[in-house]
Amino acid sequence: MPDAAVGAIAFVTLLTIMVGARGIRVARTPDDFMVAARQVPPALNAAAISGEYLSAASFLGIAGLVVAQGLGALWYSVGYTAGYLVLLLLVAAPLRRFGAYTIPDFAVGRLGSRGLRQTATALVLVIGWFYLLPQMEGAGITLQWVLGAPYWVGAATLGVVVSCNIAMGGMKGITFVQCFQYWLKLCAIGIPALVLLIAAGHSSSPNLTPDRAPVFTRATVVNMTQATSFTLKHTARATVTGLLDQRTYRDQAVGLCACRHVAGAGTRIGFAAGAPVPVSLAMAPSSSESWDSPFLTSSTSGAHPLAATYGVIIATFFGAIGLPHILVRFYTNPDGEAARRTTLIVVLLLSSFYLFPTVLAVLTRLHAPQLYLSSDSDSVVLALPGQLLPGLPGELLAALVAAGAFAAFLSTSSGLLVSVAGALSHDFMKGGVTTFRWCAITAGAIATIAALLIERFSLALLVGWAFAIAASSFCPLMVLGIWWRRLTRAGATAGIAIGGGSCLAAIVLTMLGAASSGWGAVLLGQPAIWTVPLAFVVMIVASLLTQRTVPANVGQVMLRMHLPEALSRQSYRTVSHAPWLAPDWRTPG
Amino acid sequence: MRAQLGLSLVCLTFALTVTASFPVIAAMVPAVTRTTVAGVPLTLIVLGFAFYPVFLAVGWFYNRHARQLEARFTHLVDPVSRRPDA
Repeated sequence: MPDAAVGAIAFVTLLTIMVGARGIRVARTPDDFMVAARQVPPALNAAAISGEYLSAASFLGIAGLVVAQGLGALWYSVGYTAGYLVLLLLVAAPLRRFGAYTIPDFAVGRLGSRGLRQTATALVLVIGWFYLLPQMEGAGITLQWVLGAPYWVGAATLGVVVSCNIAMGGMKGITFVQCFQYWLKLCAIGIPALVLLIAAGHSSSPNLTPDRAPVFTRATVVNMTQATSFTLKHTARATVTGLLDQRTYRDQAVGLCACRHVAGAGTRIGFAAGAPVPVSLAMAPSSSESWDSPFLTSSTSGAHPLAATYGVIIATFFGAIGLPHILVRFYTNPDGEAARRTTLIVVLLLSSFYLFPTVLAVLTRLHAPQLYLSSDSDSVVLALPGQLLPGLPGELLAALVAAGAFAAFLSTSSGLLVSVAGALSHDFMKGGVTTFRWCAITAGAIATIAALLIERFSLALLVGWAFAIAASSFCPLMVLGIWWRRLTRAGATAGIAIGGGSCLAAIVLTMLGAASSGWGAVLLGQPAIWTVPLAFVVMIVASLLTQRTVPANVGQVMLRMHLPEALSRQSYRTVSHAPWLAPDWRTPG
Repeated sequence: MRAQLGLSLVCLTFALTVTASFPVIAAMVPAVTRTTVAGVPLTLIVLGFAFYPVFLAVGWFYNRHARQLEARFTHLVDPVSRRPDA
């Protein structure tokens, strides 16, 4: 099985490196990139944004989580798409007219303050690293599955490839490549989904019936590739060869109780049609909600599913506005009107992409329930083609999926690492191109090491946390900065620090396993439900308390953001090159 | 600007109401989650497919009206584009 997949992954990686090498000549400074990209038509630009946005969580995470935890996990895909609708409604056009490259630039251009800039930069780093973690983890899982290599190989490979590539100067300006990545990802998940849908055929399966534990739809022999502990919901009879519950069987019929079992590596267990599906520990749902419940229960415990669902809704709907690597793409639109059109196309492209993880997850539940024995919910998408289509077609589809997944890790982590390294080198070190390179390598190394050290959480959950931090720090800054004249420096700084800080603290506490049940687990595990309102309130109250410090040029800045281009072209001819906006970006060193 | 903000908020409220009301409805009327349409759970249809067209429709509506608002404003400020450099 591995050959085709290894080839496909190597191809995608080499392609990225080659383009990166070309990037040294094509895109040397942010300005080169900007100037070239200003001509980009909305459709191309939208595909580039989507290409950068669709990450490991979208590609592997959501489908895996849906299989393991139930349909409620689809809120992640709904939210990731709705995030762009909210972005369109609240910030797209004014943001483009403002013309900032990064969120710290926006903060400084709107409110003008060094302290604010450093707070914002620190949060860019936090969000960037949080978002990089799942990409590394996804690479680890993919290579583990394809090659059987240890987990760290994949994470380290991705870290090295991406940091070196960016240090060499590539990726950032290549709108066309990100656009290509989107279509690659869409094909890599869409083609397998459609082929498998046709191959599986239309047969009614008991596994979609509400409130039922999954059962085998036909007689199935399960091969344990590694020692696995699993639970059965009902008693079952099975034919076992190998080690099970510390006894060795040789093709014997065994009655299995409805309890926990441990199977050794290499054990084969044959189940009859209609037998209950064994569920491994990693795939066990965290709550007693039935699989088709619309609530999301994937945080550390199954308590208070309604609150957890709203936590994810708030985080994902409002998080997209605050993602550090997306904003720069808006500047490549020729004007505010085009920015709006671009965002709408992004919603369309994301909607079409997210249909397919759903299809794959449902197919798994219906026709390949043996994947409930996987050691990891995130590898389900990779394993599904081989289970449904034996032989060469299945292998080829699996290779396609693996390549698409790798494209997802590469493109998202490149975009993120550029933001993180840019923030580091520009705002903290005041360095030029050489500093940027070292920062890229350092930031990549930190992310890789963190990915190896930190306990493995579901990909979708990790990305959801990155969104939660973005939603409770930068979202209020952008929304209030664009629509509310009375925002002040002190208000913005306090809002970002308190909102983002408390959200980060809650997540770190969850990762350390501070609260595992009840309200504590929900409020810490899905913190957006209280940190986003908190950030807005703090920002507004602190601004109202410091009304004397409203920037003097607020009227002019507001005019710039909201005046249609047809008018601004007459009054401010060089509006998009206003030097006071991003005073330092263009003079590195 | 005020009109633009109003338009944004109307669209946002609509989209949020449509999506965010689903969990509440499902929590209050558990029968909703048990409903199946042609063998497919209603939850799957709603969460997996039905929301996306709503988002697209809201986005399209917003873009159309935002453009009209801007055109009206431009016309109001500068009825005849008479400057040579426009």
